[in-house]
Amino acid sequence: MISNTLLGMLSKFNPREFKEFGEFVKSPFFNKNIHVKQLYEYLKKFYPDFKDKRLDKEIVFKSLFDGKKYNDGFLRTVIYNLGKLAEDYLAYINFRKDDLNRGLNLLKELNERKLEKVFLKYYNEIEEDINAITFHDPEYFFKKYELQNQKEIYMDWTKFKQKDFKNYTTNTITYIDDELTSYYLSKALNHYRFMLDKNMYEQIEQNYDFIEHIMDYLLNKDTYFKEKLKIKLHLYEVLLIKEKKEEHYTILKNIFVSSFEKLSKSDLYSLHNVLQSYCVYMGYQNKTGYSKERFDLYKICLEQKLYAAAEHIYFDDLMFANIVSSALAVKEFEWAERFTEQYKDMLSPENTDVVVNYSYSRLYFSKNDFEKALWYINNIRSIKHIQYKLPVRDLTLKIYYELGMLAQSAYQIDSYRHFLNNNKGSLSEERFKRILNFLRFYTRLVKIKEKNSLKDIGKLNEEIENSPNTLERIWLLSKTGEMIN
Amino acid sequence: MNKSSLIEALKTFSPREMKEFSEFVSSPFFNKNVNVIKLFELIKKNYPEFEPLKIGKEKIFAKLFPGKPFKDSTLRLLMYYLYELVEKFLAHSRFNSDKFRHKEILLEELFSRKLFKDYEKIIDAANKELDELKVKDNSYYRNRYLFAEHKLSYLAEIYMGKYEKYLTRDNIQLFSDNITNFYLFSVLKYYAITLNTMYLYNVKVDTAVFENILLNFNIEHFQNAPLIVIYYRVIMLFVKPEDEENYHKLKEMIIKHEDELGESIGDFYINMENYCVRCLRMGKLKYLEESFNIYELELKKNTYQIHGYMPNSFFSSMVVTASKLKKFEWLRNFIMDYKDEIHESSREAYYYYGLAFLENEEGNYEKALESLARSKPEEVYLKMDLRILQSRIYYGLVWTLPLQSLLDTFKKTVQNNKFMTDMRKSQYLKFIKYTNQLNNVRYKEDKAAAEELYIDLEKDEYFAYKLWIVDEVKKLTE
Repeated sequence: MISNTLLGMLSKFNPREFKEFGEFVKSPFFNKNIHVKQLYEYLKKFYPDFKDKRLDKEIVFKSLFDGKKYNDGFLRTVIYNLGKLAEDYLAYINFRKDDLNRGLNLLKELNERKLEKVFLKYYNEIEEDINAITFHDPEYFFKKYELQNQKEIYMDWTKFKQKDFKNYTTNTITYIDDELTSYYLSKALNHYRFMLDKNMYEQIEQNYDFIEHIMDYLLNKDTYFKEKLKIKLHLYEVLLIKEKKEEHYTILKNIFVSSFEKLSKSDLYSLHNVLQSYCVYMGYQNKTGYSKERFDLYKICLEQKLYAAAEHIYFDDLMFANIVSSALAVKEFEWAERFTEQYKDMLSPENTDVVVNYSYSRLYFSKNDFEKALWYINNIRSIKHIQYKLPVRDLTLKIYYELGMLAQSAYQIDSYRHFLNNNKGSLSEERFKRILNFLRFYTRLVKIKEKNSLKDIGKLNEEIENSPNTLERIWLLSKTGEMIN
Repeated sequence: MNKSSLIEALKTFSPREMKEFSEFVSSPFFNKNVNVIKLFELIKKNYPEFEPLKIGKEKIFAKLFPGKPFKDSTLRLLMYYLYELVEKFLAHSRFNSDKFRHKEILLEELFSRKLFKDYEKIIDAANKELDELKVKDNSYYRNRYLFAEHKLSYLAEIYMGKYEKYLTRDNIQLFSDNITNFYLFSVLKYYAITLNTMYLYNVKVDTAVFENILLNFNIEHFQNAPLIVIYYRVIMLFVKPEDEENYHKLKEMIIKHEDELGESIGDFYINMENYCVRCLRMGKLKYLEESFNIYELELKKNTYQIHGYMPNSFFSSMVVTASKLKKFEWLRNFIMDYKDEIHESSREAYYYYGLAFLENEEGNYEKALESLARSKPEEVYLKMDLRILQSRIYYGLVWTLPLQSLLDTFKKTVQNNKFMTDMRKSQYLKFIKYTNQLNNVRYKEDKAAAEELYIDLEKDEYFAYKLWIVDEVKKLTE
């Protein structure tokens, strides 16, 4: 068979692209090698599956170079050249899609060639196009920066013919500084937000000295940059993650509900996650009302189709289970079931099994149908997504307890502890403690139930009460409460 | 046709580009219109002169459509299509010449098609090419963080949820260090430009962001990014001009890292030149020889050109510095050898200014005046320099009354100019004031007044041509 890399790439071309690629191959600007053209013509017959005995290298060679002795090296060169052209074609069609980038490239070339009249015409057109962009994301700022940079270069070479420096105002430099700084801030703060967010769950060491200086400047001296939506968004996301203040949450929630048209899906998706994380945190701080808040946020998130970080990606599987859990927390059982049915097909095929079974198991657990909950949890064939390994174990333990399967609980606890110790380095300290607390209290609860001795239950109840950073704390308290009563 | 955008653009093509464009036009991927190909083939024959008579519209039409009556709209449409191809070609050439941008865009396409094997191959190749780059300028840092960002997105996709697999210190630091380096490099560069502009022209810029960055800047953090430290030192030339050690360290770094500096090297030399000039204005005369050394270094390394020309300021500074150091023969050779590198729009003005300056220094006042008359500048600062030179020639020729009226007009011009910085104005006004006094003292042959003028000059700060005036006053006191 000839190279899978080439065939794999060609098989991902749609019919229109594949036809257009034919013209690309036949264009002397890109290719003058007749054998490469012949190879394309030969392969065309097998598009899109490229599964045929006639794709055997020797058969392909014979068809291209009839009568000549097989030369593997030569054929490989022809295949490589066609592969290179396929890459160039992909790069070109991506380049062609972005009118503004194409325009900026043209502008740079016109500027370099000192074609002043056309340069000025395009400069104004591109400036209008950029100003019409509603999403002020980092690329918007960078394009503005590049455009101003071209103006700067233009003014630099035209200064040879200027009588004086009337046109050499400060505007250009100020603009460059403005757009470049906005680009940097929106990009670097977003990255900082991402890392801080992940740090809540995983341990990641990183040096943030410079960005913290920038944060300090934005908070204490700046009155301009932090008013730009994208910068404001990431600045307050960082503050909320770091300081956990209600006022920051309110600012961000206002941005969330009022900026659907001004922020990208990816920004809204991340913002929603940051808001949810804050609600989870407040829940662990014994603050009430956050279950309802989380559920309301998820409803907005579904309305706005914010269930994936980017359009081509499947429904976020962690979010899926969180939506189910938050609906169950406010006793919206039917809603949770409807949601699961409605959206399960949008999950990635490899994770559907674990997410759907886990969700149903949770649903039935909430309805006190523990047998069914066990059936669903046992129905999970494999857990590919590491983040699911923890909640599945938590739920399994709770089901075992409810069904009185205390021996199974003991094995599960043991295995869970091993898993936790092996992954200690990857979990944030807070999260590790939270799970450990759960295991500690759960083990004691099981022992009390096994021995049927209630003398320690009051103490256990009190300890759980005083340990807000405990996973499934409400469930644990309900179990100690049942024993006490 | 000669004045059309199409011909204007084709005139800028190199022979190689013409050949490539010919293939571009014949490529079915871009063009399937046979008449457009024919039109280009006809026009191409007249490259590079494109003589108007040979590419007249009716002539071209007749060759394109033999026997058919001339129809302007048909030809105009074909020209429009061909011009569209010119634009596509230019945009494509720019895109293709940036191999990193090409790879970056290909990565986006491969990612969206989930062609991960090819994706890995391309990203590894890009990082390897970046590793091999000598010049580490802002495009290097930008490409570094863009590829780091791509890699993070890619790893996030293939290790969905398994953060421990890809959120490693190296992957994250690669992004954050390089985006910070890119930003700092660009911002420090613009800050240096801003400070230069503020020094030369009467403009005000809000530099709060820049200043904040400087406050928190620690050289030690950027030992692996010499260009950033170099820009920082350039800024310090303005912020702490008294720190001469900073200048010498900067010069040392520029010479040490010259292979890594790319196109920025020209900027650095200009900044060193300017620092020397500012020191001279403060009366630090040792910087005269130093600035000459810098100019010579630039000539030797061929780093002085901007957009293919010798900057006017470089030429005139060379003239003034070499004259002050009495390197007359060297200067005459310089003027002759380099005059053609000055932009054609101001070539004559600077060339004759240079000659006039040299003749004046050598005491050939008549010849100096002759050259001066042929210099017709449009730039404001060259006009001022000409007035100064004219004043000195008149003084040399002992034209007392004409010098008086010249200085009067000069004074009014300076006072009425809105774009000159106050510092510059003050320099010119001092020259006018003292030259006037010098002229009067010599006319009156008043030795006591000459001595008094000498004392005044001693007390006053440095200004352009102060040394010349002091020398002339000294002669009157002897």
